[in-house]
Amino acid sequence: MIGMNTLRGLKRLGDQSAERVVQSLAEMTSAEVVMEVSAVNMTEIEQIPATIGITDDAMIGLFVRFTGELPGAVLTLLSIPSAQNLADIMLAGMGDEPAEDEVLTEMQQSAVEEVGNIITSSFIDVWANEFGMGLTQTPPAYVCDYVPSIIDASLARASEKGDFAVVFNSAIRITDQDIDCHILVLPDPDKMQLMFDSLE
Amino acid sequence: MLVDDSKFMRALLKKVLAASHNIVGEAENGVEAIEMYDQLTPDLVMMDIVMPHMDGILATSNITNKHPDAKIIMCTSVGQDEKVKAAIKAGARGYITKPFQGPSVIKEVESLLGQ
Repeated sequence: MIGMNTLRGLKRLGDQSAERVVQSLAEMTSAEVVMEVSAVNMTEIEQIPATIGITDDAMIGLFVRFTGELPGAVLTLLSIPSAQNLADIMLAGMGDEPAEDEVLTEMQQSAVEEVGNIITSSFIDVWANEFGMGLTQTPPAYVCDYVPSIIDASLARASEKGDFAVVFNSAIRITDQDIDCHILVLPDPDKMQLMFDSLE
Repeated sequence: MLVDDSKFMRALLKKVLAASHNIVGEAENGVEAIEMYDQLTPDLVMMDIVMPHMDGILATSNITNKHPDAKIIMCTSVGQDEKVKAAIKAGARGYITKPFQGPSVIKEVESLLGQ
């Protein structure tokens, strides 16, 4: 049973983290960035794609695990055109020649991975500082695939831990650039009690 | 010397710093960084934290244990209080969080090189 204080605490934490991501993306792109959704859901693992309302188009996924007292995963999802636009803004003329049959060039992929890295840090730094702990993140793993496959692979570890997950879902839009970004943060279910206790 | 697993980030730092400084080497992880430091003994290192094989805090600790005068600036997306303390304890002399603005990087580098 989750108390009202815990629910309010989870929402506040999600909002603070998402706001930090907005600031980081605005600094990176020098563009106006708006948060369209900042929600916390308790949902069945298999219902996560439906809960966040993402279509089954192929997308770019950037997956980062974080470890420590409160382990979990961050998955950043970008449509392919969004990833290409974002990479081009970040590269600002430092790009390389596109290779045939590749969605992103090597340098574009590296730029997008760095965005995933910075987004993840923005999120988990807020958590680490809130709970007075250190969280260690892995370098981002890049994947271009259909959304259900990306989510299945990302959630494999969470699925081992239980049927339900707390999902922090943020949808962010970089205005005038046609860039949309979904960020899912999934703390490992078996460690969530630590967060609940701290927030209660 | 630049240490970052991101090709993009190394290119960006090179773009920011190359006009006023000579980039003598680039490493992609902590293990490479330790070996490269021994070979080059650069005036200053820009060190990422999140990297494969060995992270930047452990690499910094290894380098400063062997070279106490090493000048290392952490340049990382990680802004957690605990990690900043760990980096300083490992011997880092500066800490820049990504995303950064070019002038702030140059200012930090010039400041440390002037010491």
